[in-house]
Amino acid sequence: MCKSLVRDGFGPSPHFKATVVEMKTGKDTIDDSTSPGGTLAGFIFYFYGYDSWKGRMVFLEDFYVCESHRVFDDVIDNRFYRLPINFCDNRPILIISSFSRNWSNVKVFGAALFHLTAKLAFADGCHSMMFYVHHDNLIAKQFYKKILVENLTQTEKWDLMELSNDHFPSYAASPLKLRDHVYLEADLRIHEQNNSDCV
Amino acid sequence: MADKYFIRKAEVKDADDILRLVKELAEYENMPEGPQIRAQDLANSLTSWYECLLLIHQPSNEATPVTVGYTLYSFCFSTWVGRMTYMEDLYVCPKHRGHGLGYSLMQSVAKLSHEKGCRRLRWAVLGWNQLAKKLYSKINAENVSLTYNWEMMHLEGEDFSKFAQEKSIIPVVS
Repeated sequence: MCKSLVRDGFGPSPHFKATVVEMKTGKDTIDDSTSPGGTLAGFIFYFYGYDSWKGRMVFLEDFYVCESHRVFDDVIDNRFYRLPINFCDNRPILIISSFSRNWSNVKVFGAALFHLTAKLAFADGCHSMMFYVHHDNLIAKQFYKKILVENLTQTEKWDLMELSNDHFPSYAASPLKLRDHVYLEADLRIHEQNNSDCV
Repeated sequence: MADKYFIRKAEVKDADDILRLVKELAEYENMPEGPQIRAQDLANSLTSWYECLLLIHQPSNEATPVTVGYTLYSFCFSTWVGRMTYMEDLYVCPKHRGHGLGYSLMQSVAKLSHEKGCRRLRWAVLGWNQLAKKLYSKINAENVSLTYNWEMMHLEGEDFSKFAQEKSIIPVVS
């Protein structure tokens, strides 16, 4: 899977993007933000798609922030600060200079990461965000409610469908169905591709 | 001479036809006010943001073929299985249903995806859409909302643009 992630995230034709929370410990200043050696403490894995009603959209596939509090020992004081988004070498990063013990890092960094991803997608011309949440995930649902996300399963009764495992390749490989008196041709111009390095 | 159908990839010149069918599908879904894009938006984003297959009907007696169905999809990535295709729309005009053409359109997406190394096809269906669900049960699709309780969430329009343009999400206490 690691090879797939490298090829499909950072190769010539990427299938996904990701934003991450990278923790710098100790006495790092904002100027040191591009130096290596941070720990990843959260991520959003996403890609662009198209909504036939609204146009360009961003789909969030995974959204996760670590719950461990190990890295947050350096609390400076109890005040909140604005979070500026800086661009270093064309790489957008969110710098968090201080936070309060009253917020769990899941909420602080989760909200910041989600907001950053929305900004990036908006800058690229997206008009909507779509993602899935587990029915029981009340913390996430609370956050989504605050930012006016709509639950389309509730309001419009959508169900999510997937075709995978063995069912997907066997469906793809079976011949195109025909009926009497209906002639079906398909000019799909499928180019042969070497799949040996696909996971 | 019998009627003929064929499937081909949509091109920029098909934008008006695609929009026409997008609106017909929205009617079928009882949400006719849903589509807010123009044909130009579809033309601008074709290939770079999505792909589309058209179902063309070649009547036995006339020269002009007519587009009577479509599927709109994009390639993405599942952190569990790798390359994946999301099928946004699948539609066949009412007059041409019942011949397995929806099945074939969807299967064409599956074939293209499989050739590209995709291992999963994902899409959404309205809870009441028994016609579509009948097709999906034939190919062993799984209703992930039912089995795993996933719910579809959406932030769009003014709510999305306002949120994206907000200056900060953590309050400032002076």
